[in-house]
Amino acid sequence: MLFLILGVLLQKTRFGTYTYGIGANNEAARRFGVDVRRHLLKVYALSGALAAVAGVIISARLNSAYPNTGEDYELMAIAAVIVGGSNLFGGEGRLIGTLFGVLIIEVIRNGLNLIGINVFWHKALLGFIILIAVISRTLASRES
Amino acid sequence: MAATQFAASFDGEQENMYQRDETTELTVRNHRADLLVEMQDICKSFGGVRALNNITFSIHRGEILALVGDNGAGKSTLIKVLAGALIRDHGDMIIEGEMVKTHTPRSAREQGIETVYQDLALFDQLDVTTNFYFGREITTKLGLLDKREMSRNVKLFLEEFGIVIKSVSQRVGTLSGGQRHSIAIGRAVYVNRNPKLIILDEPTAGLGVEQSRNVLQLIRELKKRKLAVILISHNMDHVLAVSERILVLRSGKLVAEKRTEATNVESLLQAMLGKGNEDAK
Repeated sequence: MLFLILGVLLQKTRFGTYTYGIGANNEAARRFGVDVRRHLLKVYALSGALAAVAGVIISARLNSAYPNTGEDYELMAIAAVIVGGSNLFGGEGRLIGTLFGVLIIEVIRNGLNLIGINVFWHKALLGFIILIAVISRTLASRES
Repeated sequence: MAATQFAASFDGEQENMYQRDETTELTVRNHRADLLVEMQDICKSFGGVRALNNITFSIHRGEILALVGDNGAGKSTLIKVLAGALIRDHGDMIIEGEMVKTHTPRSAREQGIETVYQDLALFDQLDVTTNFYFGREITTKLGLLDKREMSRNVKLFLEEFGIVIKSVSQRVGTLSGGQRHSIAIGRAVYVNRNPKLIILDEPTAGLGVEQSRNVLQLIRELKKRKLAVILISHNMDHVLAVSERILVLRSGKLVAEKRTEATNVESLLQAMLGKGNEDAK
């Protein structure tokens, strides 16, 4: 439900257009009358709100709440976004791509668990995946 | 404007005497009715540096005016003052007969003045339609973007101006240099409800022959639609190909004003560099 609402917000509203625009060209967005600082404040507020929603969901799932729940999840979130095709520097990306990125990361993580790979190597692999995604993306943009 | 007034303001340095040929004088007087913008005695300093020193010029509706000069001559500063991006220290600005006291980028746009800077201010990752409508999107009653309407309008506009691209849904970053410049210029005309003057800063910079030709043709289209154009360019061939009048700046001063048909590259370079540069040739 949240996914659909955010998808519409990003693709079908001015808010989404300005979010992409600021990521693509901050200065141009300012010249065309967008209050960049104010808009970024809204984006970060939304990000914080969504993090809070995620916290509620995890707590409900685990039937408990710890202050350090979700530590290191930010790296996974970044990996999912980049693997899903979003530009690391902003301006482009799709929510559906991020969804596939999440699925890919989770399948890999789950697979590593099943074959007994030490959990500390998970982060290393995550970092490696991010590196590969960024390199391939950079090469693809240079070619195009 | 008498040549003697300017001679006095240059402290008697003959080589810096403002030159306006008779044809230009006559033409300017005859076009008084079409006067769009007058800048009188404009001065601008940055600390101890006098970037603009009593610049006076005017531009008429449908006129293509070129602004040339070496690096640091004051061209960019002058257009920024005209576009409201910089506040002049001294001088008068008259737009369509009305004195302008406070001039901001917003008020400049409201008065029909649009500027296309050298960086083009395009969003490479966004499509052509989004670039055109950025900041003034059309929405439906539900507040959602009406992409169909926007795309249709942009398509019609591009066809009208002869700007050829594959699709308005393609990302601007995938367009050629010439197409990007054309989109940036087209957008400047499109976003303003009542465009009157388009300022172009190096519109053919970095473009090949074919692409430059397309951009120059677009500039001529603007003139056909009675839009005035101020063109800054280092490319003298392009300046001579498309402009009607040329202002030459040197060290913040207006040193020459010439009818394009009555001048040539050599004469412009002489004015830009000054007689003292003869030894360097």
